[in-house]
Amino acid sequence: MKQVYTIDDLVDGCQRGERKAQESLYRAVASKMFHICLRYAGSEAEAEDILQNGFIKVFQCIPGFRGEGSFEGWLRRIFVNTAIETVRKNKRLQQVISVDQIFEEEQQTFDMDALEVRDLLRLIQGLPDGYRMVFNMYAIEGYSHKEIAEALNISEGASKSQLSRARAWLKSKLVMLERGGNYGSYAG
Amino acid sequence: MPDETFDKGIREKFESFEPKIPNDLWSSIAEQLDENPMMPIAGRAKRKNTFTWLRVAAAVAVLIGLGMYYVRPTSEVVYLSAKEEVIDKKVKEEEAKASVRLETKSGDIVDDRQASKSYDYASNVRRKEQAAIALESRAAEAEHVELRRPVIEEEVFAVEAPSYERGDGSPSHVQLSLVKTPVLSDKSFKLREKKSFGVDEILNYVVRSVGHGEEKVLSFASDDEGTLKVAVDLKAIKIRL
Repeated sequence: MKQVYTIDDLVDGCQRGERKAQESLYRAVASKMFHICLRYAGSEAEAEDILQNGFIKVFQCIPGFRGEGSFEGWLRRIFVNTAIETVRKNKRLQQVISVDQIFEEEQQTFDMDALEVRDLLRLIQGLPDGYRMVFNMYAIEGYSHKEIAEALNISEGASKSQLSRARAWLKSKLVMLERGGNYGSYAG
Repeated sequence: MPDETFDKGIREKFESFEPKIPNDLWSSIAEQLDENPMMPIAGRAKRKNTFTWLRVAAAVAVLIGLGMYYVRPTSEVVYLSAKEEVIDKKVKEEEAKASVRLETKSGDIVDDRQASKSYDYASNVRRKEQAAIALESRAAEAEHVELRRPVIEEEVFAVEAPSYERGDGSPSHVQLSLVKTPVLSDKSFKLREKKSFGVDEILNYVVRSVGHGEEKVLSFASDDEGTLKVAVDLKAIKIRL
């Protein structure tokens, strides 16, 4: 009979440094965390690096986890911070594209339901690094502009500005995609 | 499309998105964990525990030090000085009583010259008869064992009374009051008197009947701190039996 472990059991095992528990925890949460890595990374290869470095941090820091708050929330923060560090290390956070490069589209409506997740992920990965970080943190993770400014070492105004530009950039790409064009030509 | 609606649509798209993880990623993670077995958080916790124990040890040391300070033995000097103050107070009271008695009961005029003359005479007689006094008064003082100072004052009364009667034949209570002041002001005599009539001496006198010559079954001794020591000679008991 196969024994079923809860996340709490696996966390306890990881806190004792048990390799089997570490592997089981990795198998249980790696997919969700890889999704985060893919959204923050500029490419799938970079997402894999973030995933690996994030799990190393998790297993090194898990003895300090005291069960205050949800374990998944704790994991997500570690992977988001790892993604920010990775992108910052590559010195691409300050990359800004000019407003002229944003394709201004008159049409502002599109069918979100028909959009494939894979296509949306590629669009997000195609965002400039600064825009991608701010958009992911604010629109999907739910951070405030103050928290984003502290994490990315930018001003709150810069955070708001980059969020606005990221939305405009994504919307324009989505409109093009819905028109039946090849989204790859826009996302690239 | 409003920004909030747009953000919500993107969020919902990713809610159930669980991509396939790379196959060989775990082996890379496991290798990296083997290369870095140390856990920084655990290290910090260990240092914190060490400092905690140091703080506890320091607190215990301070508490022990304070405890020893408060239960330390009291100073001998303070005890003796307090005792002398009581004696001086008693002497002053007795002096005041003596002067009142001189004026009221005798009816005679006692001037300073007479008083100093009687003091000199009393002092001389006292020195001559000191050895005899010590022996004669032991039986009477055995009843006042518990208080050393009052016993000495009683002895002074007994000594001075006959000496003054021989001087001018005044009533005994007047004589007693006249000689009392010089007795307590003569420090050398006080020291000898204290040594001769110590509690240990009195007790030794009381239990002398159970002695056997030089070998005493029971013997007492007191030191400068007022501690009374009792010695029992079992060998002497055997000889006596």
